Amino acid sequence: MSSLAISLELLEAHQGHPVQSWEFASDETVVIGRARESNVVIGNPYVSRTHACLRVNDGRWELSSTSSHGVIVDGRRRDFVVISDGTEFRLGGQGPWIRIRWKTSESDEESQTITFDPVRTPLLVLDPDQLADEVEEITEGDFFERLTELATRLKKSSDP
Amino acid sequence: MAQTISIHSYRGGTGKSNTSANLAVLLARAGNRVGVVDTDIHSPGIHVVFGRAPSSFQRSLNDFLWGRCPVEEAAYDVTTTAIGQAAAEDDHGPRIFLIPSSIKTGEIARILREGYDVARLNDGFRELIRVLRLDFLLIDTHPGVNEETLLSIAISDAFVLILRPDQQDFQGTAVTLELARKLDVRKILIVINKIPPAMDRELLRQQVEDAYRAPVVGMLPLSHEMAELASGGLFVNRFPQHPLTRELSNVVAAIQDGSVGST
Ligand SMILES: Nc1ncnc2c1ncn2[C@@H]1O[C@H](COP(=O)(O)OP(=O)(O)OP(=O)(O)O)[C@@H](O)[C@H]1O
Ligand SMILES: [Mg+2]
Repeated sequence: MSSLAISLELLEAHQGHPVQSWEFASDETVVIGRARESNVVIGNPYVSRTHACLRVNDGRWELSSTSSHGVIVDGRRRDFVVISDGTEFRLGGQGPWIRIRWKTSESDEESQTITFDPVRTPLLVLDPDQLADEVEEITEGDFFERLTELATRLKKSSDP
Repeated sequence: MAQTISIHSYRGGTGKSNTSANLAVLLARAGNRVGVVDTDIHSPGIHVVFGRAPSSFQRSLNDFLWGRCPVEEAAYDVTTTAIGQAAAEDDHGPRIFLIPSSIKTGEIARILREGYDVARLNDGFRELIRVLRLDFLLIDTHPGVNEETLLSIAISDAFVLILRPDQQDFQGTAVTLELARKLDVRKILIVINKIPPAMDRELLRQQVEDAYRAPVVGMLPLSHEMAELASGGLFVNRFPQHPLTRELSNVVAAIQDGSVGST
């Protein structure tokens, strides 16, 4: 991927975790909006059908708003802004937050974003031995026995 | 007969408070009288979801636990903000009462230092049900396994256990679930929250149900709208058509259904 490749991360909140991400090369024009034809489709009522547009000009990524709601960067409403690595912007005053990341080819950046994987297949596995150990650790002493007795007593006294 | 329901998660920030508050709204809209107690005395928060400033409460659950007042004095009627004026004006209409915890650091420090008498808390629950004529009492709990929380769970009729689709949550939640079973909680309902949009939901449900042998009654998507709301309002009121609201309605149906998990 060229050195100007970027990823867009849709965040769960301002400075929050990414919930979805997209990657683009420098020769692409990226349209962000609610419309299905957008390159980055965001189904959020506060996002305009075509809300903003990202493209490379003069070797730098530029973000321009195509929505009457504008984009918010550093707390200010903007119609045009030059993007750098880590720039966060919001689609309008009420919309979701997006973060831009440089994709350096063999980057150590990867390891930083490793907490975000756009998992499609959940893989939840239970370690039964660990589970048994942990449960036993809590229940073996008289702490848990006392607790059970108290619970039984309280439950009885609650019955009409 | 009133049902006491504790809402719990192994980890913090899983969505207990928002879920509790929104379930209360849906239960009240179905015509019920509902109480919501914030037993997360270490880090109270549910009052925020109901749009109430701590300064609007003269009393809190802490006052009751320390014997400073009867429990109903710490109960605040939030019906108007939660389900609207019309319901609140109907004498026979539904109600929502909030029993907040104190956010004063001194009060919190005292709880951390001394713990509290769970038998007294249990008495408080019964008094609330009786005096406020409740159909449902929802208990928002502190995350993790501690004595008070385990007892709250043990004395509840139903236990709503929330987790995120994340491996660490999964293992930790299983421990809590086993403890609840040992404490003889009959009705255990699993809710998965913050499910990423791209995740295979059916597979997720299967994995959780197979491993936990308990029904998954709600699968709540990770939602911008919820994140944006930042606990500053009641989601089901703002977004009545949202998939998340629909999933919460399924949870309510499971709570109201006497048969789920009762074997
Ligand atoms: N489905 C969701 N999608 C996006 N954000 C969510 C979702 N559910 C909850 N949140 C957000 O997660 C945060 C934590 O939620 P909440 O306070 O309800 O959790 P909690 O389990 O009560 O936390 P604590 O353990 O701190 O009491 C809030 O900011 C809330 O807006
Ligand atoms: Mg909470």
